[in-house]
Amino acid sequence: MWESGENLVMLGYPRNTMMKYYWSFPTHSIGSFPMTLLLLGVFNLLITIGLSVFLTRRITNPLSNIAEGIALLEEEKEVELHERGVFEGLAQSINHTSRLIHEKNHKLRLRDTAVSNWLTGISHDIRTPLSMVLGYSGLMEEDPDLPEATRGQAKIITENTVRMKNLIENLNLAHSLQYQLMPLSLQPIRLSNIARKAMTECVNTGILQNHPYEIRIEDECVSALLDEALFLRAMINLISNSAKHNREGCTITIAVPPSENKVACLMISDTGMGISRDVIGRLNQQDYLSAWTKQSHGLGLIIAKSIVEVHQGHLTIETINGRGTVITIRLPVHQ
Amino acid sequence: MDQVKDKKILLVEDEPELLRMLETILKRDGFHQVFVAPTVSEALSLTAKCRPDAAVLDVMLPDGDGFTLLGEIKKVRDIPILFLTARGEAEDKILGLGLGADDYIVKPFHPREFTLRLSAVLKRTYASAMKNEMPVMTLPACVIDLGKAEVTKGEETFLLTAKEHAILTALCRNANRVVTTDTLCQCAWGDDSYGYENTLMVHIRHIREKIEINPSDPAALITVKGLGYKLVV
Repeated sequence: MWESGENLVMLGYPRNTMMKYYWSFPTHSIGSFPMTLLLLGVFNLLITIGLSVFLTRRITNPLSNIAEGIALLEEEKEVELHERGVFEGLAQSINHTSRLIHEKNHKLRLRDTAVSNWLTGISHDIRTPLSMVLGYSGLMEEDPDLPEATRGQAKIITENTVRMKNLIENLNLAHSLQYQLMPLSLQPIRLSNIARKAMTECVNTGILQNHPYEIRIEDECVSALLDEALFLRAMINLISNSAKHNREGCTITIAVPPSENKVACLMISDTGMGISRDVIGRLNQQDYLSAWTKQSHGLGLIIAKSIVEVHQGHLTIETINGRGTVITIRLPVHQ
Repeated sequence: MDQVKDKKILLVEDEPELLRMLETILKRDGFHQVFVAPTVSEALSLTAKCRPDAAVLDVMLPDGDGFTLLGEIKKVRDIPILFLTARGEAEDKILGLGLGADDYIVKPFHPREFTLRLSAVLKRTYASAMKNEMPVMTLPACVIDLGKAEVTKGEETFLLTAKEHAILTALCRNANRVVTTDTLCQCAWGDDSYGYENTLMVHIRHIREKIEINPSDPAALITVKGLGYKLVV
């Protein structure tokens, strides 16, 4: 309302367009008004944070599920993700990949079991007939009533039956080494001790007829945790390999240098014609069967390498064509 | 040692051809009391009837396995038992589980190996009852009697000390084969005998003084450089 002398101006709104409220406040609430405002602000902030967390969860949760799925894929474990939500397509392809890996592994396992069963079956069933062959050829070989020539032939049968027997035993050994089916009885053994034992065994069995040998122990005390019988076999394989492939003779040396950085070392070297790069390359193949079938070298070297590896060791071959071979075995030192 | 060949041997094997072959091998080598059985039940009745001195068992038999049969036989008669096995993995079981088997042979085997192992087991078990439990070695220069622990060189007789005896026994058992210094030390001083190499050399010198004509130029007890020693017979 505005008054000026006798004039009066009145302003108004149409009916039912205005409302009037009476608010009653306690006096102190007006006093704490800034505080209330602050509280409201904090409340708002909390709601905002809560909402954003909730929303990111909605997105990241499935994403972390997918990340977990990929991690499981890496370990080749079975993955079954929910195929819903934002990342449906991604989840589907991960599940598919998992199924594929699973099927492949299953087939691989079937193949391995088949090879394993085949090998066990063959080696079991062939033993009785081989026993008969070896038994009678052995008897004929020593029968004084038979002519000399026949006894010689019987001896050839015996030798070849023994070769077959050794082949089967080596195949079995290579197989159980590759699939770690071999129980190891580990004990601390001095490398000098096993080096002498291996060389002595080769001398006694006549493997080293044509071959001067040398044994160089620089540290008597270096020891490693070994399965003695198994490791001895690896060493004998390596020594007899050197002898077999250098029939015209070569010097074979075993050396045990002092250990360095907790690594024990055993070196078997010869001055022979060396091993071809091809053979060494094949030796590094994962599968003993493919390493074996593609080379004429026999299983000796493959078995020796596998034996060293089941002892947490490494076998390396250095060879100079025509000048000799150095085979180095490195093993963790036993204190 | 003829007494070994007089022992009664029980063969248990389900494969008839193999059984006949084993019997042939044993008879050819002079074992004249050989009994054969193809099954567990027959083996048990034979054990009761013929009282064998040793048994050779196959691991797999039609009416049971060799391990159970071993238990049954051992209950009745405490005799040495030798296993024939076709599977390599049973080796641990045979020797490891303390079943009481004395030895095992993996098929296929050479007849010579079979009779050697059987004779060894028989000698080991019945040695005290037989003469010459410890070998007597005749060398060009002397005679070593390990049973009496003495060496006779010409007119003289030397006694062997305990260590010398242990070392010579190991060398005689492996006559004409190289024996490593480690093995000899182990025979004389037991496990973990590292560090006795020099002492071993002293003992070897004493042995040489007893068995060699010229101890500084040994003909029988030879040093194999880097490895060990060899007794040449």
